[in-house]
Amino acid sequence: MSLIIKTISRMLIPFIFVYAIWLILTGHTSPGGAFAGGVTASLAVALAYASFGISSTKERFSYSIAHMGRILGLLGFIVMGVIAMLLGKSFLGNFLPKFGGHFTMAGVIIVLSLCIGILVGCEFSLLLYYLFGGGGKE
Amino acid sequence: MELLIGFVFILIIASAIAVVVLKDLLAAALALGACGFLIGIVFFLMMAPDLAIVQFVIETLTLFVLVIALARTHRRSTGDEPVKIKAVLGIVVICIFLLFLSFVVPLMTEFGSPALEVSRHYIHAGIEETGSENLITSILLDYRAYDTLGEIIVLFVSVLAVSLILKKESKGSR
Repeated sequence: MSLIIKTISRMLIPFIFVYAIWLILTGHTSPGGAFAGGVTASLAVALAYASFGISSTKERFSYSIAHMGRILGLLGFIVMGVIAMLLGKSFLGNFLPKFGGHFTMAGVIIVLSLCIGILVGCEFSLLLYYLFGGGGKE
Repeated sequence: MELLIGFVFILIIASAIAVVVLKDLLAAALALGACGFLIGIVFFLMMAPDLAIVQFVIETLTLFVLVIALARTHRRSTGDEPVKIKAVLGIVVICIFLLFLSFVVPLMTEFGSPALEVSRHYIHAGIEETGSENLITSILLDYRAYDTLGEIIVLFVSVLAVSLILKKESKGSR
């Protein structure tokens, strides 16, 4: 792509990531949520792919990191549920105390949404890689 | 407000017709994107900002995939199917759908009044029970967290299937 698009996207990509993290971490107080935040993060990867090409995108965010992220997200969700069961609540019950601050007001919800955000971002980035990146070769 | 929503719905129908009619595939993809973004605006006007954000984001990703796929293949649609049979079939389907709607719409509950009793409990006690100010998050990740687990497993397995289908063999294996 041209120099203008490369420069603008180099400036924009950090802000898109910050917006994605904001959507994930404030999903319990404002509109947004984990799924939208995850897809927004994968949109930043898509912008990097469109402006810098697939190979330099893969150098920064490789297949193995994306696979690790999606597995960690799913495992984190299930592990939080099992911990709640071990502590005597129902599966995926809210076992953390609710302190009332911005991030600690909802207990376990913010951890679960962090897991879902990581999982969704890695899934959609991998989908883009497999569709346009020419298979799973590093 | 209802007039505005009706106007947006007319734009949605126009862009959906444009998707079918246009021969240039890039223009058809853009019209499809316009259709999706207008649906997001309808969600926003009906005061569902969570749905609107998800619709905008997913629509952007879909449009990106469509445009990249078009850049790598043909830009114009090829193949001439018989138009008359299609038009007759379309009119028949629309008539059946309108007949169905005329039976079903009077049976629907009024807009904004939930059909289930349990939703009233969620609306009134959701903040105290889960601590989440956003009711949608408290339903997704607390009351219905088990459903969310199922959804993310579906997403996980579908990307696994995509990776199995689209993965290229490494040189040494075959």
